[in-house]
Amino acid sequence: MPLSMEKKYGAGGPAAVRQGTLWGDVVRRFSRNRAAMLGLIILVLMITYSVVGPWIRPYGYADLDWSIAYQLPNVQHWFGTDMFGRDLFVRTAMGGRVSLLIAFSATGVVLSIGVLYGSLAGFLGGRTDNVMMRIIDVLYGLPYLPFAIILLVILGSGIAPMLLALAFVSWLTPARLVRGQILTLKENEYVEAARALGASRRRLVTRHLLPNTFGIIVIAMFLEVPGMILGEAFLSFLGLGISAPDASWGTLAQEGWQGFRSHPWLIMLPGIFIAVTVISFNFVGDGFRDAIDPRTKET
Amino acid sequence: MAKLIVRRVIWTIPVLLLVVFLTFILMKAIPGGPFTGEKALPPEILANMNAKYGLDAPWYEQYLRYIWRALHGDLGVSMTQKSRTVLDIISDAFPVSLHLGIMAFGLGIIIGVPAGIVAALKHNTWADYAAIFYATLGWAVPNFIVGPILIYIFAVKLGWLPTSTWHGWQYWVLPTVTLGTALSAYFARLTRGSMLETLQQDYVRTALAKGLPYRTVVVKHVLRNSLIPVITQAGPLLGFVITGSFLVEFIFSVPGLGKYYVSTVSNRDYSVVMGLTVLLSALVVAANLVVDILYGVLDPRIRND
Repeated sequence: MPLSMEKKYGAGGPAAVRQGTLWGDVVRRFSRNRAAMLGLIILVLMITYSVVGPWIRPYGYADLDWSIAYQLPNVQHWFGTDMFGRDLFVRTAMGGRVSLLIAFSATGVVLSIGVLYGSLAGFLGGRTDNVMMRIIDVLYGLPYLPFAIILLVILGSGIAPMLLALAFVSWLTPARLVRGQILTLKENEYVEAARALGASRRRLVTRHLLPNTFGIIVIAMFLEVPGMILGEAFLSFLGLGISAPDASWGTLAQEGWQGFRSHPWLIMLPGIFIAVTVISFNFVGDGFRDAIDPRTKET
Repeated sequence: MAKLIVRRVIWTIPVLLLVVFLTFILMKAIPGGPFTGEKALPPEILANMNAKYGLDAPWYEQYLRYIWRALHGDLGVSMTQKSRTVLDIISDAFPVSLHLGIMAFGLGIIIGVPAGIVAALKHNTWADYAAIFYATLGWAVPNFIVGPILIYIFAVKLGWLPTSTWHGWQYWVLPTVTLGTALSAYFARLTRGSMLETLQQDYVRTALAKGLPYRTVVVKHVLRNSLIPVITQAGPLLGFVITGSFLVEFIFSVPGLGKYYVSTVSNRDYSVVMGLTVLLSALVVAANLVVDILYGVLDPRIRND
């Protein structure tokens, strides 16, 4: 074996080099990205807090006590109390449960519809693809907010209507992304080879095209969720979200808004949680995208 | 080029028709009507009111009648504020919203784009990190948090600026800053990313290798090409300005379209809701159209599409 190769690989030759897997590489590169890891840790903490928070304090999220209203953080109430004397640590955690639940479910719905639509369009191609894309173009022209408001007024308050209002416009972008990716992949040689070997259409899609779109789908997911969080908070703030005494971060902000001139803490608290969660999702999403892209240089 | 424009313009028509149709159907789906409010009206009076506004006709008749009248510039009368026509309401509120939107957009560009450019040119220095920090924060903290915080600091505590309504230039400052901050954060991020990518391109390296001074290369090649994606993203940004302005108008009691919207929907004021929604959609459609055409003008590669 030439000396140069021996120096590089050791005496055993190239066979002695450990084979990496694609996802193994992705995990390794992701873990080297400090911002992304920080984001991931914060997200895990956030989810843990939302689930476990209400259990570790002795207060219920609807326990009123006007005598202790408007307290700033102290030893008994770690985040203070709101205008009705309800403990904010517990309420913010409950809010987190609802906001995160809505955000994740809405993203799930959006991605399912988007992936289905996009992969059909991309795979079928030709005129069907054209028509499907035209439909998307037309829907893109609709202003999202007025329709979301009307929908919520019709369907009333609650988690399901909020899901619908958030999802019904957002599926367009993932659909386009997936379709674009499938169109590119379709031209690849391994697809041609598989087809030449007699693979059925279904096999082509499930075994070859979809797994390679997975990366794009995950990236889309990480970038959709913060939008959902902000969207839900926004609609709830306008008064269209879930009804009291249930809470989401948006409704907590709404309640904070009513007294903020004298007690700004009530509106800052959910704001901080929303911002931190959104930022963490962005970091994780960016980190994942960089980890998956083979062109990104490793530092 | 002209073909592109014509094609795009023609496509806006089905979009607008769809919007009117959807809004119409959705409004009809809301239980109750504009007159089933708190005071229970005797059924004969209710029937009369409905007949006067044509609400007793079958839905397709109402829809067609609406389109016909709209094409003649008659958008109807507000059902809750009976002395005002929809057109009146819109022409009072729209300029205010437009004003706010343009100022916020301008602020976003003036702060965001230079910040992005500087960040890209000074990549990986403290200027870059500061810009990224600002961009991330500006985008993640929602409007309805930034607004009240600004009000608290500048109006309540410092007393420098007023808290609400729209009576003079001091009143414009806080709402514009609130709406513009998120925009500028977005622009900064976008511009920076685009410039970083352009700076890696081969033709930039060639220009530098040819001996052109760095500054010339940046101004003549990099800047122009980096700004294209920024402009094409401006379409969805208009949507953002519209949704953002709803909140900002709500928080600062600015008498624009957004402030009206939620209350008129809850009051089932059909005519106003239809008018507002159609107007907003027309705006979005027009903005997308302009952006598409602009894209064609700026990027010769897609003209031959």
